[in-house]
Amino acid sequence: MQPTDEELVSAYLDESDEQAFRQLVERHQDRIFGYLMGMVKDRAVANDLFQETFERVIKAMHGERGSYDRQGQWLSWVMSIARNAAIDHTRKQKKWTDVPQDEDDGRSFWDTLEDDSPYADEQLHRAEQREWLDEHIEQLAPEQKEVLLLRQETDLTFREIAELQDVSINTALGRMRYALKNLRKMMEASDETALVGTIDT
Amino acid sequence: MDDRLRLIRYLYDEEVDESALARRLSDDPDLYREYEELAATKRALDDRPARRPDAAVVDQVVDQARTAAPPSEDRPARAPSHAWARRLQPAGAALALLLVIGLGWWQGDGTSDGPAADAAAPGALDGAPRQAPTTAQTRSSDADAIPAWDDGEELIRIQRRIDRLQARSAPDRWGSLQRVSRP
Repeated sequence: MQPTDEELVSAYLDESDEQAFRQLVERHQDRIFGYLMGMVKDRAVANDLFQETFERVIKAMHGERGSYDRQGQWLSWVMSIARNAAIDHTRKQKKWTDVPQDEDDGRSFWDTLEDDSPYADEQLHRAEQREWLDEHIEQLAPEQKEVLLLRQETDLTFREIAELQDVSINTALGRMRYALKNLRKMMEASDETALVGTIDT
Repeated sequence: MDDRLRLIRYLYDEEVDESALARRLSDDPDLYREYEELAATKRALDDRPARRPDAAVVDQVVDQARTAAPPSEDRPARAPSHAWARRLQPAGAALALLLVIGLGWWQGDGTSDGPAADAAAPGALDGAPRQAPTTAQTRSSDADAIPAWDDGEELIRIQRRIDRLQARSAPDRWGSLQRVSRP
């Protein structure tokens, strides 16, 4: 049976068990990093923000800066810190949108073609699909984009998202609804354009 | 809450009353159409591969966590219960010995003319079969109560006194019980 987040937090804080901390980070890295990537659209920046988030987390867990009250919601607490780090960054950059999107994983197009096995094809297709969707997500209104990223990437509940954004749960749900509907429209429009392009060629 | 907002919760498995919403979906074609569109979009989002940070970044984070945590030998031991038990063992043994001595002393005084004797007397008269063992059994069991490793003169003397007093009072109590139980 897997230890809970709180058990791992206790093992780290009470017994200085760094492996417990590693387990916590590895358990949630996709969620936290996925959210950060969605917010900043730059892998190098997302890596920096991931590290910065955990610098703050570690300090707060040791009571140096802020505090963690061990109320059983470690991930949503970490996400609030990650969100602040992302907001600080975007404020500094003064751009919520229009961030370059071609530095996603630091690999060139030719690098992605070095393996032509079916599995690599599948991976490439999924990576392209992801990139295509990310471009659409980027065009959403900032508050819709953030709710969508928080729900899709981090798996926080709508109630937790509402608390994080300091809005009512209905507002969070409404933003999510519009995010999904707008995304749908963009995808359909994009499909039609692609179809027209195919016919033209 | 509006059905369209509940639909969003339903999509993400957060809706509590799923059966009611399922009924609404079957009754309202517009709502059902919206559900299908939203579900298709969500599926596309779910299919995206996960993204994770560079392994080196995770290693750096863990290094920071190790540096921030005080070394385990510097922090106070985490109250291992067996250590406490080990520390309390001598105190517990001393307390048990004192208890035995105290009980013996109190019972010895009480049986002869103290309040305990007064309390025991009515029990003997009602004939309740609660103190049935014979004198010999009582003596042997009481003798067993003395730990084999404890040969303190004072304890043996007190135990002998208890035996004497019990032997003196037991036949009367047993006799009265026998008389009461006979038809």
